[in-house]
Amino acid sequence: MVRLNVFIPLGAMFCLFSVIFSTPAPAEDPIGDGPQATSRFAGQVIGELSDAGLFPQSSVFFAEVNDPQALISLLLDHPLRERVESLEAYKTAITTPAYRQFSLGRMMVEGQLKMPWREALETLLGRGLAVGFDTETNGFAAILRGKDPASMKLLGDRLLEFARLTGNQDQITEGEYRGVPAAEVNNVRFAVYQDRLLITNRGDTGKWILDRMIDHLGAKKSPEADQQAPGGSSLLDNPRFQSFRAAVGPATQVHAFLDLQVLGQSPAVSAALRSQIGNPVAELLVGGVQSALAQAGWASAQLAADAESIKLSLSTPFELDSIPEQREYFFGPEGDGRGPILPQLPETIFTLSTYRNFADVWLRAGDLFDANVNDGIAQADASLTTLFAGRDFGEDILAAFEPEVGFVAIRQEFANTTPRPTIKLPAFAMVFELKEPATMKRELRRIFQSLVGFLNVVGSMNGQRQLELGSEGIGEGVEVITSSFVPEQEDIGSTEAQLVFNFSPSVAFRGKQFVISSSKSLARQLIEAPRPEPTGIQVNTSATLHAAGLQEILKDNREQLIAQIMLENGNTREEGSALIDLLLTAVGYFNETSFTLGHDDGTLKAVWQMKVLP
Amino acid sequence: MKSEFMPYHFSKQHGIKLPRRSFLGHASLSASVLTFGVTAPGVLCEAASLAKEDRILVVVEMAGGNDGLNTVIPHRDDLYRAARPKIAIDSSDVLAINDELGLHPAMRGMADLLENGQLSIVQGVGYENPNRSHFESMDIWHSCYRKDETRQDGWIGRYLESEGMASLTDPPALHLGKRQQPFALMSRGVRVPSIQSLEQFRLRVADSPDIRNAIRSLSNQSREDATDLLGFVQASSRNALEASERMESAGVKYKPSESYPETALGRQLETVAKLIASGLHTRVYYVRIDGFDTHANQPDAHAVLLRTVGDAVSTLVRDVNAQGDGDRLLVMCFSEFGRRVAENASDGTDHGAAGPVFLAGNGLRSGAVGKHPPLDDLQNGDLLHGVDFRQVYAAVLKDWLKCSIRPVLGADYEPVDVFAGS
Amino acid sequence: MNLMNVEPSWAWAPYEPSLESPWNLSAAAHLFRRAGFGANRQELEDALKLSPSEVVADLVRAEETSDFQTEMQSLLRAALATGNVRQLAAQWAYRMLHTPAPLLEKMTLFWHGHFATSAVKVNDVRLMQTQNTLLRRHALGNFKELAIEISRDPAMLLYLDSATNRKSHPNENYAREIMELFCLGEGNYTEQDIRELARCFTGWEIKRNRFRFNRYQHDSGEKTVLGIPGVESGEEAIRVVTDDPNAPRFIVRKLVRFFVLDEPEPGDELLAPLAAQLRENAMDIGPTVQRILASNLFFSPLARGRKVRSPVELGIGFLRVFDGSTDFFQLADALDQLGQGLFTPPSVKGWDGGRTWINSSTLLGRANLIHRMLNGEKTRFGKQSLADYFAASGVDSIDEVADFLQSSLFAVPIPRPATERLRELARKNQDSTWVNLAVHAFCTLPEFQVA
Repeated sequence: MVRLNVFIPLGAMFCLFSVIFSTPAPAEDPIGDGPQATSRFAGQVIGELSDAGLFPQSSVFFAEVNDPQALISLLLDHPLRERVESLEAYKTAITTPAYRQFSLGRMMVEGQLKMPWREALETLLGRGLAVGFDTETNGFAAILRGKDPASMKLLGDRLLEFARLTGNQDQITEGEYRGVPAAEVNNVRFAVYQDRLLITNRGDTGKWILDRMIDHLGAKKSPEADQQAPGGSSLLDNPRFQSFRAAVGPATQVHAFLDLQVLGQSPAVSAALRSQIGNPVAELLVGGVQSALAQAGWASAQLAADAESIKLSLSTPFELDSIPEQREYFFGPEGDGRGPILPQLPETIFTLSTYRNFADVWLRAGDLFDANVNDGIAQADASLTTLFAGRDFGEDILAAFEPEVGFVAIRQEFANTTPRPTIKLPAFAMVFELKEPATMKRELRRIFQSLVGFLNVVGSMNGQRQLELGSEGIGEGVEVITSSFVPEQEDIGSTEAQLVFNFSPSVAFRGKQFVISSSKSLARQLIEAPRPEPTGIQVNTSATLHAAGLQEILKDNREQLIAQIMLENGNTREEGSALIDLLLTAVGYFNETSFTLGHDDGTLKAVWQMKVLP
Repeated sequence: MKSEFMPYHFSKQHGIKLPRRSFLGHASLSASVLTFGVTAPGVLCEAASLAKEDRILVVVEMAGGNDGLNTVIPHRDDLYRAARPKIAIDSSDVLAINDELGLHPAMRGMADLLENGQLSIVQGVGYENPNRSHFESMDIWHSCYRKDETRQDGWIGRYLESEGMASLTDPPALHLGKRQQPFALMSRGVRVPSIQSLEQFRLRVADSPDIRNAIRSLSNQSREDATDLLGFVQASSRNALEASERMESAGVKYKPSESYPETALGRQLETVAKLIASGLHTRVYYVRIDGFDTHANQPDAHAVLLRTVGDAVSTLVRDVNAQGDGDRLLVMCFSEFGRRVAENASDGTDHGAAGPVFLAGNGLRSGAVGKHPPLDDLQNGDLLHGVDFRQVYAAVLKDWLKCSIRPVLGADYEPVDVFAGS
Repeated sequence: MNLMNVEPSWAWAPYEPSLESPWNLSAAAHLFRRAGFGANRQELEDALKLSPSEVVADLVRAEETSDFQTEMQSLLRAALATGNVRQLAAQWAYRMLHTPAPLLEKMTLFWHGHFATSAVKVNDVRLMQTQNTLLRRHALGNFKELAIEISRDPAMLLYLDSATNRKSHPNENYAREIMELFCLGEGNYTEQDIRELARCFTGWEIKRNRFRFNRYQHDSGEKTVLGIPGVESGEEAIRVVTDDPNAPRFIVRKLVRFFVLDEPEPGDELLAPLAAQLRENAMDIGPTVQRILASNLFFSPLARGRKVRSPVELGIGFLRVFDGSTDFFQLADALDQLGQGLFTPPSVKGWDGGRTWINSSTLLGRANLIHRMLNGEKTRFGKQSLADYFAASGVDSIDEVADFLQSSLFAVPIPRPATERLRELARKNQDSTWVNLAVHAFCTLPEFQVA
């Protein structure tokens, strides 16, 4: 079933997207040097700007945006913004009361700061933004590094003024610390020192950082110099932070650091990192990662964006020893388990390539899951073994495959064939390698045949179409065993046929390769396609969603989706069509999104990347 | 026509008697109970003195064909071990019923009930010419008729109909679960709701006590020139709102005496307990657990299933007793057939014939009832039935639900002797 | 006034508005509730510009527009493609809400309850829809033709286990239902008639979901049905059954119960003029329905508020009165919960209606359905919130809301104390949320359940 609810969140995301991009162009600049000033920061080397040295060593969390100026400009000056703003849906969205409220609030702030909000943002944190949480003083702190001390001071004063106007007078206190003016509004403390604005919720945290600023920056020293200065050691002295910096390399636009060793002292975190995951799907997705984190000193996140893509990477140190025996299925006993290389097919929607030893998971379920899940597995084992004609599902079936597994979904072409189903589903397939092709080939062929027979028996009881077995020998050592639904009188020539005509379950063999597919055409394509040579960038798991294929399949089912929207949202046909067209447009902005998980040089890395069409 | 029909608990026009249990279980909560304005009758302590309308039947369907031979096990019988070299349960593991028989080791819950004298095991239940198709055999159990006979309704449906329960103020029976309604509950005249959660018995209102009070008091207001029809609706509304309130308070006040197992069946039986505690007049609750079709790798899967049933049923019996309603409860667990005596090559068993039926509750003749089907006298490799399943229904109908057998079963079957008082 | 002493000639004579029985909003709303699924304020006001008999004639004449049919075709195609009964039911709910021919749809629902067939057993949405189309085609047409076609309808025969009928073993199941439930009613035939009728149907089979006549299995021997000798084919037999004087009586009784009142049961004498008319019209349903809806009895106090709202009337009617629209899947599920699952009637006997709609679980379910529709994010009334809808209709205060509900939605007076109590409540909730609160509270009143 093509269900619509999947698309609704997408639509919501899209609307959010529109709002973010929806800034009027900067107005005249009241302070003096407007957007032209941007270029001044552009040449600076990232990393030089790090304020990590201004946070105490006991900071358990630290995140920094190195060149906010570039990020702001990337978002606001992105070509996509213009395209979104030209959409009808966008024009409707900005007339909603919620949006008007938002605009009004923005105008108020701009009025008070006496500059457009984009410029205010650039002035306030154009040269850096750092946030952290310190366990010693138990406080959060943020350091905004602005354009220059003068404009920073001016803006600080205006913000305070704004707080006085809108807030309760009693909750505003002003004072100073070591000659630096500071203010407290509703328990949040502010101080401007030179070109930096410090915001914190704790006096002690604030004092530590201000001391550090005055002692180091005041003497015109770089914050990284003279690490043994009075006031204790900074985050730069934390060995795990050092290891993080070494692993992450030159800092990316945005990066975050988490001290797992300190964090792990909390019983809740420790339990979360060490207890069973409990859910089999979650275990398969992140089981090995949990083990790695439990032993790792730190974890980090980095964000990088340019005009064509946005990329989020999560990293943590990785040692094979940290993976317990029952989780060898995840990275392999030697830790070098990698997903297979899959052929590239036209109109692909989704591919997944992974290393997971499913047989191990099945047989070690007792160590991995609690009693409830094991009860479920015991029952599933009985049914699946029945389904596979008495072959033990774990030991005979799953164990016959190598742990390198691929999954592919592509759009199906129904152009000239009938019966053509009304709902057009993608074809999907799993790609395996057989451990013992000689014996397993016969065995699997037989199991497939008896499975088709079983489906026919069940199907005939429910009045469903019957499957017909067939086989296609293609070339040397290549064999495809197919099954296809036999059309009945009413199906012949039909372009509105039942859902089942999306399927022609098939298996294919070539050497060690084994494909099981929902359609015979995909089975053939996969078994015939040449496997690309390994390129050295193989990882444990990688998955890619292709927007073009997704858009095609949505188009194929446009009528169906409109009907679904009409019934589910109570919309008229016009409203339903408009919504689907908007969705198609939105999907059209994207190129592909991918996810990879793998380790290299002692670092485990998960990377999510989304590419937009330029 | 039914327009003149007044269901039994209409004491006078539009007046509704309150469920008796309100005064039994929660006498200490009398502040809220007394506002209903009826004084409590004497405590009912003996099953025999239970009014017929207070009796509750909970049916647990074990779908797929439960392996009776590995459930109630003749473990000392050499023929048993010989027929099942790989999956036989060892004498040292069974939970003893008597010298000859033992329960599967996973049925700790059932064994506890047995110890408390709350479990009756009817052995060798089946019917002539057993059918080995799940669907057909289940239809036979549900309807009491075979395929070539006219069968449009189920035995529970006919019971509800023969007792005139077409328009009661509470549903006469409830099916818990999302799946298709069991055929046993079908009838032409009485509709049985399926419920997925207790929410269906709670009035949803905006979070405002004002509106809740307003709705209640406006429904209660007397209407002077109301037609009979409107009067009926008003009386039913009042009853519905009271049911909702009882459900709210049951949600707050009902505390299970022990926690139910974290299984689908456990949660469903907990819902049953809550509904009973809320004073609903429902007579029959129907739940189903699937998965007994153990053709391969049976031992672990079967143990899980038997533990699930045993733990859930025994928790229900203990809990309902702790809530003070134990004497009102009878649980019946059945399966559409047993399995073949001989195991198959995949450590499993195939479709067979006769099997045991479990009855749980107070006032039962506890222990094994009837004879275990002999292993040296098989019919096509299957156990012969000693008791027709309709004899079990007959006992439930006559001795528990106190109604006549013939309109429901179509003939006078001899009830099996399972009730202590019968 | 008492049904026992109503003169049949007066009862079915055309209703003429008078001082004590005026043609006003309430009367028009009553007509639209019974003949369809309710009407919005504009439709009611338009109706008042015509005479009651003209409005009824328009209702009987109304047809689906071709635009509407195209729109429904695409929804239907989508539902059939999924093979999902839930979507088929949602699609029908959509049709009921938006149809330009409400009486046609109401009669289709009537026949669905009369020739009740459930998808739970038939398990094939296409067959269910084929039957539904058949029912709609004949909804206001000729009963004989409908009876013959339904007797060949695959869904019906599969539902009644009558897909095979051999001469050696005549299947009495369908023959019994056609006499007992579809045409004559219990007591108007003998067991011998059933056996003979079953013989007429021998050779009628469903093969691969299609009807076919297997002449080799047809019993061509001498058959006597209801005292008429020499009945040969199934078609002839159905004509004999529908020609029986009990047939028009049986159908008319059911129509009166469906359109006029749940109780008390009208006597044969009262129904006689209608039965005679139906017979004279050779079992054409339309004119009889038209006469019922335009009659004195229909507009009299004996009919007003004398029916329990069916779940469909409650759900669809609530939306239609306020130009509402909602999640039709949820709505269809709720109808099922309340006992009127579309395409899933509980048995071949259909829905008994009347008091059997009501018990503690359905009453709470009804109130909860209104609550969910009112507050669901998918629900809109004229594409806006109910508060905005009321504001746009000039309904601003609790009294105006009560008046609006009274004339459009309620068949019996809303008790004064209810309005007073809710007026207080509205005062406490200054923002527009009071509208939803109040409408929900009004719709939990026992008065709302009758229509």
